[in-house]
Amino acid sequence: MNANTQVLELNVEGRQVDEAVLSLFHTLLFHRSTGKFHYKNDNTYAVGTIGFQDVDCDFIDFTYVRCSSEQLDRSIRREVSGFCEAIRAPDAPPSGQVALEFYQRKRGRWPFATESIPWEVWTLRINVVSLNNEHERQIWREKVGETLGERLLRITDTLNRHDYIPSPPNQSDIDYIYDTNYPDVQPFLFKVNYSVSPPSNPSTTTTIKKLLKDTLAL
Amino acid sequence: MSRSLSPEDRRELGRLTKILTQKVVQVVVQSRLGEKAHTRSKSPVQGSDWFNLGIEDIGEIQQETKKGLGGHLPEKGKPLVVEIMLRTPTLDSLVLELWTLTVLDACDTSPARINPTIYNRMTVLLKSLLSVTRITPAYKLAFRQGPDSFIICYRVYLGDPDYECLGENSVQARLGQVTTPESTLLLCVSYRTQITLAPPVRSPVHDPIMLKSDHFKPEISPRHCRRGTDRGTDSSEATQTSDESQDAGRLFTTSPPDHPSTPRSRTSSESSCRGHSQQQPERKISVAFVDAKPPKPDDFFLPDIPFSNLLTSTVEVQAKGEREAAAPQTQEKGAGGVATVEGGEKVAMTGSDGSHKSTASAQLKEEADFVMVELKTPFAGMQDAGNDLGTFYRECQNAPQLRMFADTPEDEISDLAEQLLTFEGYVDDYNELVRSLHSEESPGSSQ
Repeated sequence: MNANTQVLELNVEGRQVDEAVLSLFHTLLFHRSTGKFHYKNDNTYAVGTIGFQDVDCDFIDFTYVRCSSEQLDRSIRREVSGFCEAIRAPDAPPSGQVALEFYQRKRGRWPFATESIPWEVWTLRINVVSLNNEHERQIWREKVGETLGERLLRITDTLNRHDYIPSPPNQSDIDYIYDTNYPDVQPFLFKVNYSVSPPSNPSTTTTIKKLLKDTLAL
Repeated sequence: MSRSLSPEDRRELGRLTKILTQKVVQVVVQSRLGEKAHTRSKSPVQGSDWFNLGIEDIGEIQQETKKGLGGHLPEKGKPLVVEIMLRTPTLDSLVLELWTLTVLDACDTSPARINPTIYNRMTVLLKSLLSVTRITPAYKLAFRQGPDSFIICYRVYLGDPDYECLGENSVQARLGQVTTPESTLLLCVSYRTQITLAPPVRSPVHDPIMLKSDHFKPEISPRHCRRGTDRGTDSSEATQTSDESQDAGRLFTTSPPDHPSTPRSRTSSESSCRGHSQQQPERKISVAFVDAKPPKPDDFFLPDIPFSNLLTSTVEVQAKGEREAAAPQTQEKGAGGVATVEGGEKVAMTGSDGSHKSTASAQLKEEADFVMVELKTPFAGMQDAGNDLGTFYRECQNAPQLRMFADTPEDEISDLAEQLLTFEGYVDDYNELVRSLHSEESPGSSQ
């Protein structure tokens, strides 16, 4: 099965990486979570309610909505923090990518174990820019907010196209589709992968510098 | 080409579309109240909510939606429109956003079941709406509302929106769509990018005040200070409405998802729907730190009479007393001007159509001729509003009356005039006295 793969690119300052990634990943998880299932019998179930809350970013002029689930928040923060630390390390290359992958598990035939099949993958390519002074930071803070807004619109437009989504499973198979470990929400099974690598295009830095200069010239 | 639906499915689809329409209005309007959303997740045992989302309905918005729809549903050529506008105390209004739910011909020919497939698609669309309402400029503006600066109003109707009213360089964005076996519901937003507030009376000295859409930073916005106090204010309408929404939530949990199923007949509601779209129902927003009581005119009154006039003309002083006793229709600066400011505010809050605008604005004092926009300075203390430059400025502007003036009531001024008249009447006696003194002194001096 071909997974629906989307790539989004972001140019952010080092301290903005966490919030930029979390804002988009939380938006995705909000769309890709349901209320908790409560099975009445094997194939009849009632669905709980997802609460939601607004989150203001500290380093970006941006507000996003996430599921009201502290445990889910902690979990995704933990997953993302590894990437943020790696990309902010002193000798790290200025770019990397982090992906949120939704997958389902399939029972393997004996003697093979269950296999994970991704059905939707969102990759964020992050380029870290360095800024010289507070004035530049102020401009960048707004600029990144605008960019995140554009990316978010692309996400919502894509998510409403009704491509493949796993069907609601019977009670016995629920753990093959959903992560049922959270007490208040039930996201589709997901994992976060990341890699920090030197820029594939050597001119990326130059492009960002030019972009910055153009912005500041306005 | 639409797939033939069973009557039951068609009824179910109509019901879902109706609830979706109501929820769209709730989400958009609630996001413009200037409050942070935070609803709890619930297990199915605690009750179920429409579209499995914790959107708490506010009764007032629900009523406006019903009035705006007039018993109809959005249909081809007649989209649902939620118009968000900004209104100043002087009744200048500016349309900020147009959220539209449009019905298109294209439909889903696959054997998608209404429940749960279409239901889940609608859920995803509502989640997208929740996310996108936070990224447009009006979201930030909503936190800056106040009776002194502007309030945000809304209007719900069925029909073609007027995109021209969004000004130049407006942006249109598509949030997503739901394809059903009968049609496609497309959700879009168009919003203004240039927000200019002009003073009510234009003069060459005052330029229009530009409000840059992204000027107000979240971290210096008063919402951080306000967050805790908003809901705690008993007099605030926001508190009342959230109580109502809690009731609505409970109602949903006890009776499964069906709202008043008594739509008016199509023939009778056509006119009411049309008529309503001409009105401008608006929602008054309560704001923390703003005194609900309008200031008394006396608080601002400083006698604008040259001191020398008190001594020269008694007639003029009396005339002034009469003018004050009369209605505040005079063009007198001072008491008359402030009284009309008060009147102007009342008009703004009751949501009139702006016909009073010319009379109200013409009588404003020169000092009130601009829209007061509360500016928050960077580096100012975020938690302590008392250190804020804006507060300091406001305090200076509304400085208490000087005791010197407070101790000079009108009675004393008129007494002085009467006293002078009396003294003038006795002028001969005084002359006589002076002469007698002079004559008494003369013999002595001659001794």
